Amino acid sequence: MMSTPLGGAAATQAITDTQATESRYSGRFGHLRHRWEQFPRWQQWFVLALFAVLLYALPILNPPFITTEPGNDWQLACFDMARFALIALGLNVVVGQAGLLDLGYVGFFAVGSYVAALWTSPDSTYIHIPYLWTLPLAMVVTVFFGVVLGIPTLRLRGDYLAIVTLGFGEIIRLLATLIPALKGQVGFQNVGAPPGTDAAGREIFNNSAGTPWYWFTVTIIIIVIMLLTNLERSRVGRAWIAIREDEDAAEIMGVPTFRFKIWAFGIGAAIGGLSGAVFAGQVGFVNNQKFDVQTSILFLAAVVLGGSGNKYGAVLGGALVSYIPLRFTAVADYKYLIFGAALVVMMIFRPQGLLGTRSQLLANARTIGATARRLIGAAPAVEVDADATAAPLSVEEAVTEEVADIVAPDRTVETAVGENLAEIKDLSVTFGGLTALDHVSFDIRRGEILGLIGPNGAGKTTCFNAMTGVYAPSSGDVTLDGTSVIGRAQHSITRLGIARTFQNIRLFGEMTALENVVVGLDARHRTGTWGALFRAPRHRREERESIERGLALLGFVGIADRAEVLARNLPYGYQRRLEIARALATEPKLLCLDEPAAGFNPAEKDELMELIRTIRDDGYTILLIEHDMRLVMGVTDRIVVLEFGKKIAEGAPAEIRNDPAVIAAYLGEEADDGSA
Amino acid sequence: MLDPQTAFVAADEWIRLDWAALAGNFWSATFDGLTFGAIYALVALGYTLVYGVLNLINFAHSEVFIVGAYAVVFTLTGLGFGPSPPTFSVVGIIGALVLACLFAMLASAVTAFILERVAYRPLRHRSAPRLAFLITAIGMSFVIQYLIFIWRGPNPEPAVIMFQPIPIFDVFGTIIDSQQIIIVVAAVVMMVFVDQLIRRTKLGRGIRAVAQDPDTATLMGVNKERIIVATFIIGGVLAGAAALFYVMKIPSGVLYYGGFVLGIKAFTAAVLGGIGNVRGALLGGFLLGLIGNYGQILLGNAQWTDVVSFVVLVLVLMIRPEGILGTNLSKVRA
Amino acid sequence: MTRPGKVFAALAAVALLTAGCANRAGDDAGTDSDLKSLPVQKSIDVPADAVTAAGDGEAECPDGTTIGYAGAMTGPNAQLGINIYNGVQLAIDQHNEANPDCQVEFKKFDTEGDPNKATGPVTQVVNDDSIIGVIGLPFSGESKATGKIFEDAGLVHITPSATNPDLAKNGWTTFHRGMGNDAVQGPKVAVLAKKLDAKNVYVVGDDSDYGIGLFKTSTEALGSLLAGTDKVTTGQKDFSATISKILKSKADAVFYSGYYAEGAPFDQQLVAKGFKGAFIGPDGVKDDQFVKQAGNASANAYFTCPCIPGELIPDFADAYKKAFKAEPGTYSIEGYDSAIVLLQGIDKGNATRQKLLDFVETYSGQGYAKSYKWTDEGELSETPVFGYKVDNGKIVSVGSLDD
Repeated sequence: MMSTPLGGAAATQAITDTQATESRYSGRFGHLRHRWEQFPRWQQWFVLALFAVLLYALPILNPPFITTEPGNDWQLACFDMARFALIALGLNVVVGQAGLLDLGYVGFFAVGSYVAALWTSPDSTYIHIPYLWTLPLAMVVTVFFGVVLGIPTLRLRGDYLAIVTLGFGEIIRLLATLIPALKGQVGFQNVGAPPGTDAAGREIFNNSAGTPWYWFTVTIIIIVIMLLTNLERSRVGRAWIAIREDEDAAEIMGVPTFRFKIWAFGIGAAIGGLSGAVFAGQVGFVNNQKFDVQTSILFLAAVVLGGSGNKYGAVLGGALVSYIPLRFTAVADYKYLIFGAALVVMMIFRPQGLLGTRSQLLANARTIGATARRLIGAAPAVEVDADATAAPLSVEEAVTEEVADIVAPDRTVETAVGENLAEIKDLSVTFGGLTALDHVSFDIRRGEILGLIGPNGAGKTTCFNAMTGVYAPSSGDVTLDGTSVIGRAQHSITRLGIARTFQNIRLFGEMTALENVVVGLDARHRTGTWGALFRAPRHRREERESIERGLALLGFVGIADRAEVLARNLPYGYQRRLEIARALATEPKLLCLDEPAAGFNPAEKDELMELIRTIRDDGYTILLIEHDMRLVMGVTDRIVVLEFGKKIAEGAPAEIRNDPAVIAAYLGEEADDGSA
Repeated sequence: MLDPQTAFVAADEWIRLDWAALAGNFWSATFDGLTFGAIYALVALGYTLVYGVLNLINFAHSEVFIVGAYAVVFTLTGLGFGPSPPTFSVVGIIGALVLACLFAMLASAVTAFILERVAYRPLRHRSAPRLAFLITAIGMSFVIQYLIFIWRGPNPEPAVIMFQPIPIFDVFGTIIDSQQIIIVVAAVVMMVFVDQLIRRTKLGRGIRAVAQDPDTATLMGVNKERIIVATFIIGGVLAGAAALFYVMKIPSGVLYYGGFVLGIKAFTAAVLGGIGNVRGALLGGFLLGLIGNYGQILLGNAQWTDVVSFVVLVLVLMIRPEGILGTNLSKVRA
Repeated sequence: MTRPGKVFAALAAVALLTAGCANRAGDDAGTDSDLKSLPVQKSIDVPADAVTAAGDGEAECPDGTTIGYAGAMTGPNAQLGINIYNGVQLAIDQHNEANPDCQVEFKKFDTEGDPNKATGPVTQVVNDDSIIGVIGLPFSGESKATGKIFEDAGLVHITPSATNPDLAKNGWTTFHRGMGNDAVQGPKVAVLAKKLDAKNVYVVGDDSDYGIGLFKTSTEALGSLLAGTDKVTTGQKDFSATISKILKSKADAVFYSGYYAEGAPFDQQLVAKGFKGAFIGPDGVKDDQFVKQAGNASANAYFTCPCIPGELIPDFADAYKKAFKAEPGTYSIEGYDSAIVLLQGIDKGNATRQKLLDFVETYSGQGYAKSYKWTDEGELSETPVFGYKVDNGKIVSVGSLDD
């Protein structure tokens, strides 16, 4: 019987990946990007301005060969590319960033289109409002739909979510047919447009004038990208990536995953609705056609093609998906075939998409170097050397006084050491008919290192899981400082003050070490989505502090030299320490370590013991599951022994060592079998 | 903000529950629903088996199915069947249907096999993330659909009528015909067969072992790759059989996206019953067939079928996220 | 893997054999038909004063004068577009052959019949100054989405097949329709039913714009002949619920207001369930695909269509066959006739958009099968509707429904 509830594949994966050499500047454009970040701000702005001018001039330039004429009007083709780019940008938030596969995204687009039509078309009997007002209205209405769809479905995982979103997309399309007020195939003509007439008295935004519509849409795209960048480099964006990488681990690191998934869904919906309204205005005609699953999948192809998770990739992918059939009209019949094949080929040969560079997730990434130099005396590497076998720094080397201060800023011990911090009372966990934990009770005292040991399948990890909300116990209680944690969401237990690491390392692989730690720090941050969206002062302060505290924590566990390396590329020992740093970042009162020494050699184990002691000395309380008897006996203050789900002994290491029941339990069982 | 006279509901009662129609047609809707349900269930089994073994929604399974349907149509057209009931002898018809069924099974199984080789195996060897498998599956689904589109054009194949359904039983004044009986009975027999295959044979043990823990299964000497291929082929064979019944029931439904439409239904059925669970596919298929038919008659429009099906799916998943029958204990805890 | 097959074979054998012995209760379903059979129309005489594409052979016009076609060329709706632009191509070829000093060019733009894609190609059309007249767009949805672009550009266009009545009510002066709209066709269903001596006509409509319009006008015109109505949806494949209602109603004719994609399986299932009456469809059902897909069941099918049976006009049919190695299809002749109207204008020296528009507005002339003169809204004043039926697997005319 496996005692861990969470799959073992991640650990294997992590180990094989340690040889990888990719950094956060991965991919074909990695070096370009690194260079770009070295440029001074004014140069960056200059290049960006030049690019913007080119972008705006695109429909007028009508470059030969690239142009879609004579088959399709180039200006309108530019608009169509921009429209697809905007849609892809929105879908990228849902699929690329939060990792929620939404196969019904076209539904949001449809809702937005209908909002614009219903409130501006003369065919509609609703109150008519100016077209520009329908844009925010469309966003509000689609967000409403998104949240209404999201609340019941976003608790579902991956594949289930995909099929349910597909169903919702279909329902919206079918309702457009079934609800008489939406006029089915008859549709709405003369949907509104932004106001204004040219010198000849013609409307500027008429449906054959591509350029004004293109400029309008590109401007929207730029604003959306700026706002999305703000979100990306905040608690919200990091939460999304964390959810995508490992939802369970994110929840346990204090990320309210459900809330942030709703946000991702809502923001995606808003952008989808906005693009729908823009499209309705340009075409001027809305009916129930073309809101089908195929179109949804075309949108998905755009995101995947461009680079899932990268907003510029999404823009590029969207533009391409629109451009190719317009430019090569001969292939229009083969459009779905081409994009279907592109999805397969991309997934097999270049899963990261055309623009696969990872996004920066920290608002003040530029200050990392300087802060690191101040704290640890050197700037962190951004790449792992191919032959890097260097062990993490030893604790004495790493922890300077300043680092220690930052790591534990106000950890003055409030209550006397030795009082009960946590109490496990009569705790039972059953699966079906099996009892994994049977009426177990013990206390954890403030400031101690308590070892939790027992043979394989004794219920150690089950106990952890019950304490951290992964399992609901069938009876009993767990309290922390007198507050019961039972029935609380996992992320709120983390905020209450219990943090943990995993037996099989569960880092957010596509995040740097520093970003992983900042996800932990975010558990104590109070910036909301709105604050991040508009860069509120509190958000900026928290972001600034994050880098300093994050680096200090990395320094504290001795791995600050690799702060900017992707977690999945870190050497094994670094990964284990990073998990500890990430857990510490949530400012726990109780730190639970699940076999932190698994896979370590004796020297590394000694380093780890030292680290655990330092953490305790810094004022933390530690609950430690460990197989290695030498380590347990060497580091713990007290030990609780479990066997077959029951507590068989409790006491100081010396007592446990001589306890006949414990000896019997371990008889025939090798103490350090390194199993997982 | 709405003009009260034209607010959705007031303008026209767009949701009208016609209980009288449901009561009047209850039994015919039930028998017809079971017939569709049997077809859904057969296709759903393909989804469920692959999901059980690989944890992958084989989105392109709908195309495995439609390829089988094309094989049925081509075989029968070649034998002289057409849009009018055939004039062959009973034995001749049975022979032709068996032949068509075998060809369909072969065509579907080969498609499934190619799919596994071309699309999924390379990803498995790269240990790609789950999402990558799903996106590839969707991509393959599109590739096959539009290859058929380019080959056969946008129109459905001319109808192939296999035999004139003959009334057999009279239940509560509603006639059950030979076609309904053949489809339901044959489908149930095949599903029992698959269920037993998985429970009792060596291959079935292998499938279950890989489903529970691929790594351990490999360590225990199970050839994982072979089991995966076998699973795809079994799913393909079942889809081929489903294709025969589908053409029998809907003779003019063989067109490039015909599989996609049915596939979504079948997948919904699999999820409804508990994906990865063979008996769940059966239950989900029949349930979905019935719900869709009742909904259609109650609401008075065939397009409600899909709306009702999806709403039921969401409601079921909200209460039981693993579907009605769920997955078994060992899988929950793996 | 033959075992499931064997299982099935055994089952099938049992079921079929049992079936053979069972009583044949289903036979009395439906009413025996005593409908009249309408005679096949053999040919249509071309009116003596019909305007030909060739004109007088002495026309002069500026080089590069161009007629455009905008409509489906690829995608699921391509066939209708091909029928039309081949008709246009034929008219222009005949014209150019006869008039050495007036070589009109022809440019085609693909919309895939999709309203959401049509604005791009149509904008290309209006931006191409050489194009002074357009045939298109074939479908009502795309016509709705683009009518204003033509209007803003003052570019005359004649749709040879978009039948939605509301299209003419947008105040677009450039919009012209080359045949009768749905409001004209609907009442003719009643005329056809009366000709067939049908007493109880059941009307089934789909959910398309087109189907809804025809459903309304046909049910109104049928009046006391109406036996009942039902609704189906685009994409539906199984019609058993509707068919049992029809059989209960003892209808002797069914009018299906929709397209052949649903009409064919519907008729096929209707006949399979023992319906003995006539199946009537509008122009959306009148398609060779209908016959192909419904098979022998289609023998009971009649159609109404505001289209002229071009294949019965020998001159036209022969030339078309020669040029395109295919029979003229639905709306080929309308495309041909509409193109002739534009060519007439060009031949008469109307080589600008404004002039050609004015010309079409005031045009009055005899085409191959009907006369062309437009109202202010852009509707024809004379809109014949023809009846058709399936005869030996081919769709043939049973003559005009106007008398």
